[in-house]
Amino acid sequence: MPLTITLLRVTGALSLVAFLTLAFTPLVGRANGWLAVRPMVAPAAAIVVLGGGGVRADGSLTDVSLRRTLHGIDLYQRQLAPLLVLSGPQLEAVRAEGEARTALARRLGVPAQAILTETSARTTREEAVRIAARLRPRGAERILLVADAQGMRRAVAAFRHAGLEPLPAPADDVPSAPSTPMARLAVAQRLVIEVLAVAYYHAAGYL
Amino acid sequence: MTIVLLAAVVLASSLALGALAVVLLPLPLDRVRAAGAGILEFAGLWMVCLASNVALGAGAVVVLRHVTGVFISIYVLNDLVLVILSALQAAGFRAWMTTRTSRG
Repeated sequence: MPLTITLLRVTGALSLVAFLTLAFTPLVGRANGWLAVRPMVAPAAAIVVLGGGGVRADGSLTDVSLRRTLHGIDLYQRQLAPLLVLSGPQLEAVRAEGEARTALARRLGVPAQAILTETSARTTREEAVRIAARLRPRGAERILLVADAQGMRRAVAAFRHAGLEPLPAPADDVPSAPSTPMARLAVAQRLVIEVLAVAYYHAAGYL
Repeated sequence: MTIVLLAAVVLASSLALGALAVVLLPLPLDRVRAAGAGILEFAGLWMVCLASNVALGAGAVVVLRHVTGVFISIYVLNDLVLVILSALQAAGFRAWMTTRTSRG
């Protein structure tokens, strides 16, 4: 049997074992627990809600974006910070995610002067750099950072690198303790993406 | 409970479809082991195709961002369609390999 065929069969066997392990055992939930950053919700100078999920074709927020926005608004209404930063670019959508978030926050009673909208940053690193540049002149350095739990470690490091003092306030896009095979695979996918993203950020010198 | 139910469903459908295949096609029972090896080869090819597509896609996104200034989100690669297309690629390569083997 040619070596290539043997290698393909070994790769296939390892892939099937990995799939069954990830989908049908608690391993993913435990790995998620080990890698996730614990929430540190405390009074801060601003609440920063990172972009994520964007807007749908009709201009409304996606479920992921809505979850993060509502978490940020909840933190604001609990008076944990006087300023709410809502981020999210337009990209190919009909309107910027940050604008859609701002409109929702206004409808839910957050005053306009308490909202800072950021629509130009397209990546976590750009968000860290641009939001830090807007917050530091206001003396706002300690921030509550709202992002998904899997990406929080990288986001905290990026904002710290930009000169702010971020406190993690995660809004989970996927269940933190997945109980179905599909949910476990979704969390596994997020963890793989995040590991690759952290490697890229380190290689690019962003962290 | 979920794993038991899903495993039972897949096992039952495999036995039923296998019995139908033996009767209708008919497939030889002594080739079941070779079919198992074929599954492993297909799964291996699938992973090779998926990894190649993700690596090429990520490289293309980074190059486009830096060379043209056009922003494309890396998350375009986080799409189930890429996984399905990779499976189709793998099925194509596996069929090609089988054709070569049967001709040789």
